[in-house]
Amino acid sequence: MKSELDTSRIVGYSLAVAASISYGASLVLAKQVVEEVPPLVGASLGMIFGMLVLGVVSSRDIKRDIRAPRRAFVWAGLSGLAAGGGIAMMFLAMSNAPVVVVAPMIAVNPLTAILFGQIFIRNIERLTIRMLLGACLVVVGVIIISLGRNV
Amino acid sequence: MTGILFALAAALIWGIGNVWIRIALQEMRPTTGAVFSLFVGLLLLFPLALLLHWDDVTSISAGVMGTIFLYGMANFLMGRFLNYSSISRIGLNRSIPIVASSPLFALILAVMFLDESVNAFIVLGTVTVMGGILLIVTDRR
Repeated sequence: MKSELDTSRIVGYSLAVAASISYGASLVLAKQVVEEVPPLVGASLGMIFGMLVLGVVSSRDIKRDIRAPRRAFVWAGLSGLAAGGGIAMMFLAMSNAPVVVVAPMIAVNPLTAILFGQIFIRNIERLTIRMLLGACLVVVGVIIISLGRNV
Repeated sequence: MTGILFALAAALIWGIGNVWIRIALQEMRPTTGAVFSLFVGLLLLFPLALLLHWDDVTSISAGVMGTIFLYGMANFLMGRFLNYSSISRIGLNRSIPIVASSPLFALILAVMFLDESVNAFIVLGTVTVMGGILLIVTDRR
């Protein structure tokens, strides 16, 4: 039982690191995209490509999940609106303030996720002091890197 | 001041969005969650893009479209799918801080492929991020 839990955690952490690497690669590509087209256009078209390819690759999963409770789709839809809204807000922020100001503000989003998680889904999200400290260090580190890249 | 408020709003909106997907993923697969959330997000962003930048949308060259395709694969296919899969397995509190370390990997790639230079700030930031990830990963409870 303990071994299964450990394996699941290792897989979960590996997925998180892989997601971070993918997002990191996308940041490098985004830099090239925004030199050619407005960020909103690049993000929208990128989302279309991502959605279409993922939709085709995972069509079997989607067919199975059609019977999932409607509330699950409502929450996922709200999450999509939040993700899209966040992107729009980020572009608005960048057009009104320099990146050195905007990047650190945006970097705190893991802490807001943890905060909202503790407010709304405390029953399914356990938080330890160690996790909170780790998240704070990541946020501080990302802010230092953002500032370091813009020195 | 307006820029700061928009940036804070982005951080808050992304934060609550991660909570909402955590709830959704209790009853659906990460793939379905990712596709559906992208679809709804597009309903918000794509009309805005068309409305504000019609000329840019209709005049994109094939080369730029190829770069946008790669960006879409990295961010919205791989990134979001892997992110949701991770949240589904280890929860929000463990997953999100690790995923949020992406600027570190962007930096590594930029140093490797774009000849970006490294300074003391960057070394300090990297060590701090790695320390944070280590604390989260070694939490056994």
